Amino acid sequence: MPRKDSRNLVILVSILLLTGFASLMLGGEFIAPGDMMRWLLDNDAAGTGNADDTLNALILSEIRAPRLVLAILIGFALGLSGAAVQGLLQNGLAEPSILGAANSAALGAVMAIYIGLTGTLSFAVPLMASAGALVSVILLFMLAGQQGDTLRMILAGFAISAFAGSGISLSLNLSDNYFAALEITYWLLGSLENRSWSHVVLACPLILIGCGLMLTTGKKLDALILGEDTAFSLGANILRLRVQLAVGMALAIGGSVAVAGVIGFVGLVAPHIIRPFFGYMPSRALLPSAIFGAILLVSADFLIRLLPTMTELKLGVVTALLGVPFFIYLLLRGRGLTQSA
Amino acid sequence: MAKMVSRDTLKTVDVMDVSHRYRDHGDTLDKTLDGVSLSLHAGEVVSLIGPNGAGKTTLLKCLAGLLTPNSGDVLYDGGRDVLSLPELRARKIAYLPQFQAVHWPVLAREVVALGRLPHGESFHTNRVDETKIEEAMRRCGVSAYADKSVLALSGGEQAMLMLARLLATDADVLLVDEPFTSLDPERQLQLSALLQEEARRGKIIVTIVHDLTLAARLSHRLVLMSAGKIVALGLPDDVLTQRNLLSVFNVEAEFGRTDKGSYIIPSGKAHQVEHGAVKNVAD
Repeated sequence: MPRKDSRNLVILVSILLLTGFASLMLGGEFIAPGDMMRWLLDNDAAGTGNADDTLNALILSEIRAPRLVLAILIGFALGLSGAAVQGLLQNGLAEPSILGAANSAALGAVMAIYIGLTGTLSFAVPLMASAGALVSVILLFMLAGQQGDTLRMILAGFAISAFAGSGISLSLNLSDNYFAALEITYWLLGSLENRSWSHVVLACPLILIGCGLMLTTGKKLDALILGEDTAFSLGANILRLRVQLAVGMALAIGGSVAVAGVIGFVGLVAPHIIRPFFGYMPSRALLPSAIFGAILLVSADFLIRLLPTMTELKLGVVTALLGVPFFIYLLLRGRGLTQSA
Repeated sequence: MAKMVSRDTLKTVDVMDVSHRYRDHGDTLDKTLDGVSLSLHAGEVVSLIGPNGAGKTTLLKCLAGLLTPNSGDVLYDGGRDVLSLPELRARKIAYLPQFQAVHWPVLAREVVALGRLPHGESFHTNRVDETKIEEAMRRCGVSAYADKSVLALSGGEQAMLMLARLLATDADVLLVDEPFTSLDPERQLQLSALLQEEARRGKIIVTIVHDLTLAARLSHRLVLMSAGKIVALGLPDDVLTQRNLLSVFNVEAEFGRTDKGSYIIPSGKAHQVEHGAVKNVAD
């Protein structure tokens, strides 16, 4: 079985590499594979080559590459968070946003835009978003308590999420600046447009630390399928497991929302798609779901750039549009989705 | 130091004057355990019997370290090491709670393999683990379902699978909460034999059983509990008396004996009349 797993993982990584390569190649400007290889192997092409080479190198290194890296990072974070939260709460309907981090990060960002901090400090939005996610996880454990059961945790997360959501609505409601309101709305839809390497630098540490925390929970997460009492009797420290996952998720989701806005459904859908191939034990879904999340986001972003729409579609819109039909399919099939399925 | 302790199998468990009450939103509820003392020894099957709410599960959870008593002590081999070191505890004490439904279509073998978690977390189970898993599944008669999804199994098959998970841990102390409830007669006998065999191998078995005949035939000793206290403790024949059943379960019973052992059939509900006399009301 492990051999089958590693074979499947290799397939997933290959698909990711292929979509990544394609998304570097295609877009407003087609860049031939040969040119791209030259750029990949020799980063000084910008200084030495002809005008075409210089332009291609610029498009690649300043526009497409950071966008691709962000899509991979964020997709990875979303897919992993989805598998982690579904394992933690033992429920296939759970989404990373259920514990409140996504909305809280969004509220942080919206406040930055609303107060007008973006004018004075270009990185106010991502910074405030990360802060929002961190505050949410602290609140979560204050509300859910140390011995709190899973249901209490879901309810606390829901309360935080709803509160942050109403904060966002309030700032839109009170905004007397039409452009600020529009900026907030657009930002909330989620996008990777015009993101640069500095966004990568900002999101990368948060996402990597968060993903590291989630990936190292190991097999103790599996014990939860037998219930908390049995997991405890098998040596799992339930509280530590919860803190590790919730903090990891807040960091990863906070980092993602900070640079790309709110992108839904990837975290919900990715684990469900890979489980039939990798098994239903929570720990086995983590890494494959993360890679598949990256594939989904890279493809969605790729699709956006290829579609001949007047204004570029927002990433969150596309993932939701593609995710909802799949969600309905899961609902109709009714397997592995809910606790009692 | 933990390693030194873990090499020897546990010989005794001492429950010393343990009291426990659950807290509910700041209100202190009635005591669920009230000054319980009990000693258990390697090689014996001890069953807790008593009416619903007598404190049997609470006692079992105190033994498992899931609950910390408000007062009193639970000592393994005379010390607190086992319960205070989670890794040691997980290897020494295996616990099977009452209702245990799995919600994901995981494979039966994967569930049994979870029993090996306390013995290390390497991503691929090693040869010792494989042997223990196979042996546990064979003894519980679930080998045939190894590659089936848990959700495809019947209630009784799932119960035996959970038992295989318990055995796979190879712990010294097995705490089993009402394992017979969803089993057919054949599996009930199979499980009884299995628990007795574990005891012969030097383990300490504590179960909760509602069927009195089953409890009597399975166990070396019985612990009769009522309202958080131990009412009677000893050999099955000494504990299961007409008087005890009447005062604790409020039932009359017929007793009998065959060459296979004794049987107890609750035959009528007794009514406590105001002035304390006991009257039988036949069904």
